[in-house]
Amino acid sequence: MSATTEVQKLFMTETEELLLDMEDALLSLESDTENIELINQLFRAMHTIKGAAGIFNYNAIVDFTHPIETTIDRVRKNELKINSTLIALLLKCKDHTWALVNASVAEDELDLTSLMIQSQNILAEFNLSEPISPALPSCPQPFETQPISPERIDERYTDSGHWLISLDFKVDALRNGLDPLNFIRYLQQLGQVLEVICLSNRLPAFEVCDFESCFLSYRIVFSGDCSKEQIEAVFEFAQDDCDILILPSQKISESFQNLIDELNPSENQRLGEILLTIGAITERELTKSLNLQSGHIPECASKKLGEVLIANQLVDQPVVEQALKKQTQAREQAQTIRVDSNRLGQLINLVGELVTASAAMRVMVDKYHLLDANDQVSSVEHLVQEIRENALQLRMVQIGETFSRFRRVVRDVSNELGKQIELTIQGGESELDKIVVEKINDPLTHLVRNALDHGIELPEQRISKGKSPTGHLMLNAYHDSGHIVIEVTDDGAGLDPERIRRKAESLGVIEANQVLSHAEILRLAFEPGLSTKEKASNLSGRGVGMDVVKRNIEALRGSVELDSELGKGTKVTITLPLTLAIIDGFMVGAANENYVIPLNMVEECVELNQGEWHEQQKNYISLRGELMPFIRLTSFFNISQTNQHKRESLVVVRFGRSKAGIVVDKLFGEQQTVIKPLGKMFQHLKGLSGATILGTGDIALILDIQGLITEVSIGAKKHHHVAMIDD
Amino acid sequence: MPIDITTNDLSVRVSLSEELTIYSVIEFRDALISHLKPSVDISVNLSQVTEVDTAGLQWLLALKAWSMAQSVEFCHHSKAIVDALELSGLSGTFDDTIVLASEARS
Amino acid sequence: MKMAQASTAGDITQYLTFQSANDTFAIDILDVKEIIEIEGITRVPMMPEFLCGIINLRGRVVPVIDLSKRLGRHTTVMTKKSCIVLVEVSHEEEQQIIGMLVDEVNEILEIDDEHTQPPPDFGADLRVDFIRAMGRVGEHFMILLDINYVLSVADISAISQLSFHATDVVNEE
Repeated sequence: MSATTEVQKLFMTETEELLLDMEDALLSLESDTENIELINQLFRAMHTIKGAAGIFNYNAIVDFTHPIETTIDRVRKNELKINSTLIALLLKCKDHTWALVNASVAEDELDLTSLMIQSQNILAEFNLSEPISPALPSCPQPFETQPISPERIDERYTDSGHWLISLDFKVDALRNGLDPLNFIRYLQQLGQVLEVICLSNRLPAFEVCDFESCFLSYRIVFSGDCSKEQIEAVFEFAQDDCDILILPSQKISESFQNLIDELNPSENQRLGEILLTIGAITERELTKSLNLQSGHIPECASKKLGEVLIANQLVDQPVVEQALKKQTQAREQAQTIRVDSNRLGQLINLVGELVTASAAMRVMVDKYHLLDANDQVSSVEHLVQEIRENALQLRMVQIGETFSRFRRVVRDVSNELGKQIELTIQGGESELDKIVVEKINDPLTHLVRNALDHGIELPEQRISKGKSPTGHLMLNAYHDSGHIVIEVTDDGAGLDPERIRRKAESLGVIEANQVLSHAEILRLAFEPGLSTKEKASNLSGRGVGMDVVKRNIEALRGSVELDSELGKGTKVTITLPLTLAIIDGFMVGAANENYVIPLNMVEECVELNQGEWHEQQKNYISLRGELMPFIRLTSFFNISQTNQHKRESLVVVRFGRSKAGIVVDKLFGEQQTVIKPLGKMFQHLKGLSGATILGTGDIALILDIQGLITEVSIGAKKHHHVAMIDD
Repeated sequence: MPIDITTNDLSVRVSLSEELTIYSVIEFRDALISHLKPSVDISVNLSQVTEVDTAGLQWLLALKAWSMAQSVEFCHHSKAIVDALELSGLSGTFDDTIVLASEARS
Repeated sequence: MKMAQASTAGDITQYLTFQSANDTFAIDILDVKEIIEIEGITRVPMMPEFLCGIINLRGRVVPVIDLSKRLGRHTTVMTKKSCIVLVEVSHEEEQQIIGMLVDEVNEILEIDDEHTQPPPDFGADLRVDFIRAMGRVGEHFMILLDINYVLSVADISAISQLSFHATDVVNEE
């Protein structure tokens, strides 16, 4: 213990005076709690004592007086109200400070140690919400007091895909040659530094601060066309001296989720790998996290890694969830086997041959009345049918996969065009033949792009029309009598029938005075050369290409229809057969020819019985009072009637909401039908969708019911008109 | 000497020149500290500062914090100072005291 | 494509000769896949008259064209000697098998390039593009058909589309 110096004596005197001031002020405040001058007096006392103590490195005093000073500052700022409890506490502090001063000047270590413990106890009574760092004295934070969170940044930068880079430099950073300013300069070269926030709450008081240490932290809002890995690279040399977090904005986080969604689920892909692939985490971050995680139970590894990543703010929770979902997807898919498409096609061809051969066998058995063989042949037929169903099922995939791929298209295109478009998907579980799915992709893409580019308007335009600024696009799929129906609906500008009409007239497709219904005008949109968009866009060319869409769909033995209302929106309905290979058919005969009707479209068969149905006018029949269009196969196909007085039968077919009657000569019954395409030569044939080879080796033509009904309706209308005019 | 301090009873005028960096900050602080008294006005002229680094920024920040109870005024910020403040997002913090050296002269 | 490669200058090409519509025709043997007997042609309605129908070729559906009718002449009358020549034509990068109904198939002849000459500008009542060249064997001339035009899928498909639209769908009896 050395003798007290002059300076120390001076310090003690001054401190004693200040503490007396403080006591006076406190006592006065008991009756005058709002007196700002008294409160300032308190503040000055603590502040000055703290400062002076700092000069002498009396850390015990500094550590104790600093939080008190902070508390009094809060009272000054009206964040805290002075009351009797607080006054009592502050009086205690005043006494304790004096004790600390004495002990510090006397350099009484033992005393000081026990006093410091008391300091903690007293400070605890203050119930301070901010964590006090006992190690270093620090000055009150006059600047940024609220913690920076990504959400708050997101509020301010709603449009951008930006990053929040959090840098907490460690104490020796500057001594080790780093300077935060340089890193910020680096960042400016990589992209746009939108905002820099400097946090200096760790900065000690001026008098005692070791300026060669680093007490600053930065939060930087950064936007750039670069990956997380690239941003991390900027701080490569700072890794040891700085805690770095690179946090994505909501937009970037969403883009990660989308990227994960689009990944092909591959087996055994670990969570870390998935996240690394899309750039949500960097190699270093993954390694670090895996190290943290090691020691945990292996089965829980993935989940734990996710938790580790989230806890360390390396990835957002929704992104981790999406990645876990993708893993589950992969695992489910791992229970599947990849089969070469061609092999499956071959298998189905063979099954087709098997069906035909089995039918031929049946013919023989029936022809020669081989009753003994009947059971066996029946069981073979039954088995063949099951094999057929199973084989075709192998090739069925859900259309949801195709639909999902459009999410990305919608997002990219909306961004590119500055439109707001929401995509809704329904019926994704509907299954159809893989080959059809592949072939429908192009036409669907075309239709979706049409809707995005020419259908849905810009937000401003929509608002001026009284619509919501966000446009809606819906993809819907469902099954209907052996077909799959795909609808592409938008609530955009719709088609202008006048423009279509004008264009069609100018192209010579229709006559100037031709009378057309709304539906007929819309159907004109499928004519080649018709495009109501004046300017081409790089997205969908001249805006329609609907004739190509129609051709592609018809090549799949499907059909497409347009429904639209100007200003309201457009709906495109695509109908496709579920399979191109083998169906259950119903065979009928007309004259000497055989025809097959898809069984699922057959509603009922009625033998000709004068009471039940009879012809009305030329093209309608009345069945039990219900009116429907009909055709007589022999007349429709221009087959010469060999026997006029045959007993005719009526087959009622249904397609969607339409019904029609088909008058035939013979009803044969159910028939497994292997569809043989007729070939390109017959592409334009309406009413026939293929041929099939019967057990006898003969060929039966497969009726295209939808085509027939369309033709019948058109024809019926024409004649109706004619009939009316005649009258 | 790169730090120049003139005092009277009521005010302390500080003028810094050349670097305000890790190499000079401690020296500056030590020179200034004894002049820091509760009742004195302090003004710091930064017009001659040619180079600033993070240590220097900390110096400014700490001094400004100290000034919450007293009054410390920074003036005539040189370009080096202004650039460093802008880069580190601290322009707003020193907003009220920024008077560009060129403006001051004119 | 095959046709062009079949004969180069100075080459001898083998041709299948046959009778149809009172004339002798020939086609490059390399285009011929098979010659089969007529066994039940299934009529396909609403197609041009020269399209007889379709047949079952070992499980495959093959269209058959009446050559005489296609060439603008009369409908072929079926006799014991009538048969179907199966030819391979290319259409949009795909090979298609099409049958040709003819009166009678004759022998395979070799014709030297020197003995062929371009089709006459007039006189023949055939479409010019149907004729590849005229070939001379001894004293006789025969028409070397350009099978890709005669059996052009695109052509026939277009014709069928027109003829379909032309007829009134609902027939009045």
